[in-house]
Amino acid sequence: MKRAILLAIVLFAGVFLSGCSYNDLNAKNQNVKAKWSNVESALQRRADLIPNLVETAKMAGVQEQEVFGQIADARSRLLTASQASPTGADGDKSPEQKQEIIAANNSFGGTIGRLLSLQETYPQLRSSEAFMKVQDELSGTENRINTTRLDYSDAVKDYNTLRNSFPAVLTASLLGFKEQPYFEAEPGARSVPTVGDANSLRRPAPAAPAPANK
Amino acid sequence: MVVLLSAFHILSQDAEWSINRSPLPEPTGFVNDFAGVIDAGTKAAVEAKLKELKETTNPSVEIAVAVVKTTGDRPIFDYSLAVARGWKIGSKEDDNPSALLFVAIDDRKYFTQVSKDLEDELPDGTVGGLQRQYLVPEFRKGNYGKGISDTIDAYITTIRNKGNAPVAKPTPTPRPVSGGISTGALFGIFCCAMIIIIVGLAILSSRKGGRSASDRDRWGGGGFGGGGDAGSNITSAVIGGIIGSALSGGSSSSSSDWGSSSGGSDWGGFGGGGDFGGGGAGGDW
Repeated sequence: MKRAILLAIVLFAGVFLSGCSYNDLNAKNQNVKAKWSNVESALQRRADLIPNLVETAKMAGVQEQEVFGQIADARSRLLTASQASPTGADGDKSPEQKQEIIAANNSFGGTIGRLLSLQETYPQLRSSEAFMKVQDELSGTENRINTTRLDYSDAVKDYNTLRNSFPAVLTASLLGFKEQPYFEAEPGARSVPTVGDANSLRRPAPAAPAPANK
Repeated sequence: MVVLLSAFHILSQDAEWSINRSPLPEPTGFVNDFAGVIDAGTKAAVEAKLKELKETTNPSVEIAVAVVKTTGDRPIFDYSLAVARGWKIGSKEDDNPSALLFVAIDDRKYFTQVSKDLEDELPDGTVGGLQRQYLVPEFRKGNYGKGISDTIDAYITTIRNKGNAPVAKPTPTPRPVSGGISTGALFGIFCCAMIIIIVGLAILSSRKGGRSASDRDRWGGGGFGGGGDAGSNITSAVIGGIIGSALSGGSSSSSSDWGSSSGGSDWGGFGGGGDFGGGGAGGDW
């Protein structure tokens, strides 16, 4: 009799979990994780590359101390955020930590665009193949960040839609599947600031964390 | 119903931009010139080189060329990424080095998309440098065909020099015979048949066990419900197979004029990879 009850419980749990989209939730959550790790490696790549470009630019005679300062600040903020030890389940970054990384990324603002348009202001850079190559690498990194960001947001949309639908939402809240934050590009982050306008880069305050789409 | 659904799917897809879907029509070869700026001789030569590259490298390297007049409001990076992913350039294997040299003539912009597995051979800086060296000067003179041809040569040389040496035997992938059912569909039918048999056996044995009538109805109903699902799966798999082969048949026949001009006529589409993560470089002239 006991065995029969046990069997009934196991069967019920199996049916309940699959009926309430546990498997789907898990699969989509894994996809979000994979896409997020791509985002992080793209961000890390940028952080590694920036000092290189700044050095090359300085050697080519670029004097943009304000931009360099802003970039250094944003870079160290990004590194702090992405190197924090994970507090989420399974040794993953929690949604709040991801939010912090996203905000840190957005604090670069238009500085990268400024770096990428330096040769407009300093035509001599065009003849420096070393600078042009590092600049290719940096804009490639920006492209990768943008691509991984879009892929990640697609995965999050997929996951959040399921997570907030019935009956998955019951399973999700019961088993601690949290809603994941989107990674929206900051408006204007990819556009190149107007060359010659010194104020185009002055931003009033560090970007507030972007609100998660509810 | 399936047709209606897929038609709706296509319509709803067209309404919305995605970086995973090509805004251009299906490719007709390695070189796709939608702007009509490459002369036939150069095109055939580049086609032959790219075909040889694909057949003599392991893992095989697939490089495509696309030339359009303009990308409209889209940045060339977004547009070319959508083409590279939508065309699924590169093989389906895990290791699928591939690239797409993309040019927008009227915008005076170019970009080479490099797949994740080719980034070691062609890092962004190298790609940018080669394009500035070979593509830009010729484009400024209006020699689009030569600029593209020289750049492709430079890519091929770079890839070869990085250790992807020619392999002895070319291994062209055999195309599935159009009209037949693929092995995947066969396997699916086999699985469905197994499920139907197992469910049927279960129903039979439960009948022998002398359950009450209501029990039997419930189990039987469940069993037939499952069987029905499996049946519709078979139907959709078969329909999908027929549609798929009809489509691929159509594209291969439309590409025959391309094939006759270059001498090779086995264009079977790109490998099905499309694993592009944003690598590559571009610029303007």
